[in-house]
Amino acid sequence: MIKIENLYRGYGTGDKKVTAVKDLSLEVKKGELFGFLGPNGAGKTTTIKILVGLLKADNGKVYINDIDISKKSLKAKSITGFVPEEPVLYEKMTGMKFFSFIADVYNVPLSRRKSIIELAELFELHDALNDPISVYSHGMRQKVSIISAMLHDPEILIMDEPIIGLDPKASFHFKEKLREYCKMGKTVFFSTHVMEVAERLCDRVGIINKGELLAAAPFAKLREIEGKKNATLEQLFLEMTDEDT
Amino acid sequence: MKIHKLVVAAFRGNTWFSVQGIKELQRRDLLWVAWLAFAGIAVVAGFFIFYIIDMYRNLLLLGIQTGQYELLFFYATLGSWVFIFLMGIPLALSIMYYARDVQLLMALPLKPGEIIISRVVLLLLYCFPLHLFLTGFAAYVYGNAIAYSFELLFSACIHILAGALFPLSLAILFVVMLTRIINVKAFKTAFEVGGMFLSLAIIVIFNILVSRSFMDPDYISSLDGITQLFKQFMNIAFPAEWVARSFLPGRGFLYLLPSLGLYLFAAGLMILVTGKTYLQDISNRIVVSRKKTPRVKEKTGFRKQAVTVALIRKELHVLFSNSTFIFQTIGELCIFPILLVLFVFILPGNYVKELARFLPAGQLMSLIIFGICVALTCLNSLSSTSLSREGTTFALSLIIPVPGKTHMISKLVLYILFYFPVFIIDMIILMFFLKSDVLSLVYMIPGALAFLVFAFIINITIDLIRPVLKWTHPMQAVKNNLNVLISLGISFGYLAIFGFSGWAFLWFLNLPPVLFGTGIVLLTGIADILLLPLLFQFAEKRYNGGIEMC
Repeated sequence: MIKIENLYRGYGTGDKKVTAVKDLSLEVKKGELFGFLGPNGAGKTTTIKILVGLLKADNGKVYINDIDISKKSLKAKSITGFVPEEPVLYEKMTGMKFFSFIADVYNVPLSRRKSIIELAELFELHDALNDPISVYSHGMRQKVSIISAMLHDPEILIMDEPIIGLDPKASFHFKEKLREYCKMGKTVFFSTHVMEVAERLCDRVGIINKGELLAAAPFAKLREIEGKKNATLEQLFLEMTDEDT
Repeated sequence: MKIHKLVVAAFRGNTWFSVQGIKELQRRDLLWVAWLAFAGIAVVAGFFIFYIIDMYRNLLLLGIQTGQYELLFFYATLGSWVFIFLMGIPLALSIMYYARDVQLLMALPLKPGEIIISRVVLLLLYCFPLHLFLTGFAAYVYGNAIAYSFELLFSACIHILAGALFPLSLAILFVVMLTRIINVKAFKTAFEVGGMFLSLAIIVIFNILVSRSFMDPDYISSLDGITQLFKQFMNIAFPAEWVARSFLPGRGFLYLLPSLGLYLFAAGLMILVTGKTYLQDISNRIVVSRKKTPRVKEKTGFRKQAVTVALIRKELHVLFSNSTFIFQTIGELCIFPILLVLFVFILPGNYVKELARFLPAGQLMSLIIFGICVALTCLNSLSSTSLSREGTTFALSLIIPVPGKTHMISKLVLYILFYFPVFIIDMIILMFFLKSDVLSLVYMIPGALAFLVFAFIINITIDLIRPVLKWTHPMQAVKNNLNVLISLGISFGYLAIFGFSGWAFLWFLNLPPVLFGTGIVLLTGIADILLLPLLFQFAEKRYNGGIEMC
């Protein structure tokens, strides 16, 4: 479960201060697959970075499975997996060495480490595990990032634009895996620009614009709220985020 | 016209050396960085000019005494060629083959020749300051000491403007050849580090040749031998001799023509060969070709390690991830043995032994040796740039569920693993040459550990306060990192306090040096015990939201 209460975060000081996230409150339930949507610069990445501990909130609280991340961040981190927007990897390590490093720091028992091979096979990265990451393509790096986030079987999976760069097959397996995860009672929170993915995959979507959460509801409910029964998520998103309409 | 635009665009797009760049720094309130860099360059250039003028004067004197007036120009030309060739290899690799903008240029409606020539001009511009220093000051020293002739000024202009083309063309040809023989990317770091160390070795050898010639007591009687040696050397490196002779009045012009011919021939050959292969080589590089590596078997690679060990291995990966970090670390680790080798070669015969006769011995010498070793091993940038070196990958250190204390312990262990053996080796070398007291080792060995931990605590705290995580070139994380300067300043401060208190202790209280040594080691040990928990607490705060990755 992810619980965000009155989250504020700004950048800069004095006159140059820009509020990236404004009074954001949200709850993502256990076993829920939540899509976080918004135009560029809406505050999605800032929110996600606060959730995983890369940024500190100016105000507000974040709970990961009832753990206050400002008080017990290590405990929260140990049950969270994170896929950043741009893969952050040690380039000179081979894929295998990188996964071993991640497994070591998350204390993954030896018996569970065969999941490295399973996940690598699922994402067709198996043949490249002995190559240094520096020779990987963008898509392969994204796969490494996804596998390393799933490696320790986290309770909460937080991802920033995870589908970008994945080939159709990997994208399919990834979405299947996310569904499987949620069925196991784990929580998935991810941002995306691909409306079709959010529409088909997510139990609930949240739409954020200029740092403010405009709505957070299942797709069908969003249609109801907006009074447009046949609208696609893309149409709803455009209407909600466009100031002129 | 297009070539000019390409060169300007590459400069503006990749460096801060432009009006826009300065404006951007101003907008981000970082103009002081430009001033600091400018001041740093001015200081280094000042030292370099002083050093080179002094060395050139010695060479000219040697040339006059051996009747070889071209000797100064021969060495200046050869030095410039060797350095530009060595520097040109990694530069050509990064500017011609691995620059990100090359792919952009290939997609634009440009002729291959325009891309190649613009890249060569860029390389020439990068090498020009070094070439100007090495050749220009040779002409200045010669003109000032003997006379400014027309030949000297004319040749100087020609060689300064076009001289770098010869070694640079050879370097590019070498790179073209390399790209055909081996997978250059796999050896890129090795080439860069190798080039840096080779350049350093050449500076040392160059220095030794000149200095030792003057310090040798049999210097005058060996002049004939030196003359013969130089003649043989010039015969081998005859193109450099042509260039050298072209500076001299009289028949200088006779040598200027073949020199120019040499430059044009090398440049022509380089453009011809590169023109035929360059675009193909770039295309081959763009197509990612991974070698088939053996598949990972289920049971391999599954070796569980302690978190601290995993972090130490990660630290090593970061440290050896690029040539700048490697060169900086190895350079700092080996600085004393390098200096010692340098002095042994420069100083004649029994100089060190003679010197030792005038120095104190016994316990006092051991204390001095201990002080030197502390200074040599504690003044370094390994821990003051430890977080900075991680750059954007520091985000991983923030995401993983590892306490700040564990991060610090892994960095401390690595620091000790690197510097403790070096401390002991430095100590053994000094104790071998100087008359010292072996019993003092009782406080010297634990003292090494105590001081290393103390230096680590001070230096890493600075990097924890202000890590430089956003860098585009690794140099910004180490050499250009202000943390290094701050930590060196603080280290100098406490070393001076220890040194002064030691002097006061021995001079006024007249107590045995071993007592002071033991006392200072004990005090440092106590300081370590008190400061380490504070460092861990601080690291906890910094790793837990104190440092942000925007």
